Amino acid sequence: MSVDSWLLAEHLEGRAGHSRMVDLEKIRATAKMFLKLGIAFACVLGIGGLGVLGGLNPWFAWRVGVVIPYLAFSLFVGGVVVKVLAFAKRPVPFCTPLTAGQQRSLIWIQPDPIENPSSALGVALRVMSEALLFRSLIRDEKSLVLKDKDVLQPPARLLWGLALLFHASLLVILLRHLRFALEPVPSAVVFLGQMDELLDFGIPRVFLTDILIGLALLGLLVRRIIQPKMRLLSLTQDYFFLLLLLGIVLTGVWVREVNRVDVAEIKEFVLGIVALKPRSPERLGTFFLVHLTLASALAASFPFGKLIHMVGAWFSPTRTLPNTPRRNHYQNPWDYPVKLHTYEAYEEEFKDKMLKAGLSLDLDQKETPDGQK
Amino acid sequence: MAKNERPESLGKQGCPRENLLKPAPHLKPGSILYPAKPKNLEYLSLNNAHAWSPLEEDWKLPQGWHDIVIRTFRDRLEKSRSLKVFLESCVRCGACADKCPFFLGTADPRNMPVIRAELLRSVYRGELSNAGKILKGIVGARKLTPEVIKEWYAYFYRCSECRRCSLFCPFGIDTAEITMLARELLLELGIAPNWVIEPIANCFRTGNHLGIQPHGMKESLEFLAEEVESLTGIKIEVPINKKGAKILFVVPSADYFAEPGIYTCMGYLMLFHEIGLDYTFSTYASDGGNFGLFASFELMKRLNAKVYAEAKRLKVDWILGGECGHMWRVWHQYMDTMNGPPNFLRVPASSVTGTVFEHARSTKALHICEFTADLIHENKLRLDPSRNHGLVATFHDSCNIARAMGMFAEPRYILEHAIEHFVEMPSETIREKTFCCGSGAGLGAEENIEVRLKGGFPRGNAVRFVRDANGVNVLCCICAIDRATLPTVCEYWAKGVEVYGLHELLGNALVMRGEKPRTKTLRGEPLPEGKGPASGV
Repeated sequence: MSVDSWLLAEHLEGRAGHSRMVDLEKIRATAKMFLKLGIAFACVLGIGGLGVLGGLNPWFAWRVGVVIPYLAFSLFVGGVVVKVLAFAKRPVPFCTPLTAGQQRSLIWIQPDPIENPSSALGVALRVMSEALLFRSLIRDEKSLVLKDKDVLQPPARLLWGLALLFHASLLVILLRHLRFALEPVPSAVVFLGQMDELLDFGIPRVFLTDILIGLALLGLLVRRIIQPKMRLLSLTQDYFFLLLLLGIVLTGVWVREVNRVDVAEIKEFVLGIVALKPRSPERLGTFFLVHLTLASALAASFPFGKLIHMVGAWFSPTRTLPNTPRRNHYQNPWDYPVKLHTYEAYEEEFKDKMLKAGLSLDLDQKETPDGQK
Repeated sequence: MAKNERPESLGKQGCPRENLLKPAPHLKPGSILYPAKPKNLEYLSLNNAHAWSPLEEDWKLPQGWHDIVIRTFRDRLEKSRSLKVFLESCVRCGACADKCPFFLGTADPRNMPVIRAELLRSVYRGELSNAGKILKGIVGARKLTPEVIKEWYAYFYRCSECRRCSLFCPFGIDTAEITMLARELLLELGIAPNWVIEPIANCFRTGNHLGIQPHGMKESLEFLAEEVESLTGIKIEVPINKKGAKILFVVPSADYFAEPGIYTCMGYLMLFHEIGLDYTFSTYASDGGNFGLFASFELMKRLNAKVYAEAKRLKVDWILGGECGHMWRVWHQYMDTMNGPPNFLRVPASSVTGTVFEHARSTKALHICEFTADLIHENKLRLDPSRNHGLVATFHDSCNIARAMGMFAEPRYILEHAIEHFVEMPSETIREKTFCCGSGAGLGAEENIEVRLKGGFPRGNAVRFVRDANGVNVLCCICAIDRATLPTVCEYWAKGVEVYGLHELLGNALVMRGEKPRTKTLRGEPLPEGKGPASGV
């Protein structure tokens, strides 16, 4: 019974006996959710406010447009390195992959080389299927308990779809942004931008991925707000990152389509940053600075919140190990001797009973060669 | 709860609205395990053994309990990448939330795997990370208090470590490992259920969880051999502690002690006699099961060490393991690492078919289903499935065999040859998506029956479905915990379905050389009319 289906179950039971009176607890809980959402929104606004501040005068513009991005970038790189090392340096004491398919055992039984990998290639394919296709999310299903006590588990691919849409769009958008940082712009990046504009239908011209990522983020946010179980398990940071990303997308589109900042000037500014010879961003406008500040906040918080899942996913032992602990010896680097109950101690305690039951003892056999003892 | 009704929490309750950072152990009789007796902890030389009761206000936590927990937490975190990754990578996407059998049965939000992990993760943020200390509740951080300890005891002993949630997690976060960590932390404080610790103490002393002493085991096995003789007319020798045997055979101890496991054990004895296997039981390694898995890695290793030690003492070539779920989690994923490699043994090879089992070449331990499937495939057994006529079976994949090993085809191959009618349960409830019996990982006690039955609800429901749709009356399984606990689950959720071990059904179908016409099944029930005598010789 999923929490979502509580509503369904209630519906099926005609809400009999369910109080329709205003429920104080319900109000409190809803208020709590909006509090989390509100704190998250206020944080995003606050960060955006810094960007606005940058539009006020050259001094602020320099601090917001140059100092903050450098700081954020350092935090991003430093944080990610620290986290990668933290994951990588820790040992994996046991070979405990999660098997989702037939093992490789008898030769006449067809193993599942990806879902239950026994080779490095299989593991690589498994990890890639998780990274590129979000394999485990494709399995997602709803659990519904119906009135007649039957459990139904229809596939539920909404989360998978939204997640894939968001991440794929984000990847394209990030690659597109390389045109600001690279001179000359690699033809692949130019091509990507052209492809992204291919399905363009509006005036002004809008990138397809901008629309898709906006829809995906909205979907992910709405899901957290309206699904009871998601409302219950969401933390403030879950709302924060969705709102922050939405803010980045919106300001990005605004800068490009409405504010119409000169691309060449942005590029000059970004190239200056990259070359460690920053220029003042004051002529680029408030909206650009807001966009830049929000993006900096994302980069700076990346290693310290939930976004680190992007790194963690590559280190998850249940997905990155082959299912061969019986085939090949797997060593635990911190293995240590433990207190044992030896056979000798066991026999010492039970030898009389064993003798009586006609069970052979090691003692006997040690004595036999000498004959005397 | 009235019989055959869903737990009242299902369908009645609106979405719970509560602050999940506020500890709420929900301790009540029927859902909480009795505490470990100090003498059992002391026998195992464990720290902080003390008398306490989960239903009392004061759990008499040892002095410095807070530091002990944090220190142990840090230590385990340093030793294990999985914990670090699992504690940091969760995005609370909710994919796992409705996959846990205990959540499906109880509708208790703390049984959602994501929240179960947050019970620990919130303390990780609040006590072990700097950001959490500053940002507190905003990032989901909280302090470690005695109430949190109570909540851990309640909810980490409402997880059967079945790993179904991990299958659906995009990062493979494994709640079983989170649960194992939490249980280790609690154990350091002397907090553990007696139903876990007493079997461990028994097992450490006598080699098996039930505390059966060597002569008792011998009597049990001889009794089973006599039963086989009265059914088949064939006298069977049961080798015990036999030095120089080719194979050390280790089973879960319930298989030679309690119904319905003993019928499975009779099946083993008949099979081994029929193929003339040179094997031996051991009274020292008299249990392959390992409740240490449910308490701490160290206890697991301590209990498991006897298997290789005994194989060495008896000078066998390799090891064969019986039908058991968590035993095979330990044997498949931990044994060779913890107590191996056993270079004094040989790669398992069937003396009957000549097959060399390369996939077990390091651990030298073979699952009996792999062994038997090979025998059937090479045409070495005469099977008469009509002796199981009237039995319509479905197969329950044990969590550990399914998600920690991936053995799906072998048992099904045996079952299909041993029985005429085999029906699968709905695809989302079998194989890697299998549902737990609700009683694994140390939950199979009496006093927490409500938790067990609610946790067994999804499995029971799937069994009920095939019972009504296909007339299924046999739930076949290859796990001793299943055999011990699924009868209760079926009695409650799917009345009329009996639980069988795989090798019991095989024993029924096995045509033995020189057997007298069979008139009864291993359970002593009359064979279907005309099926007994016709199948002899």
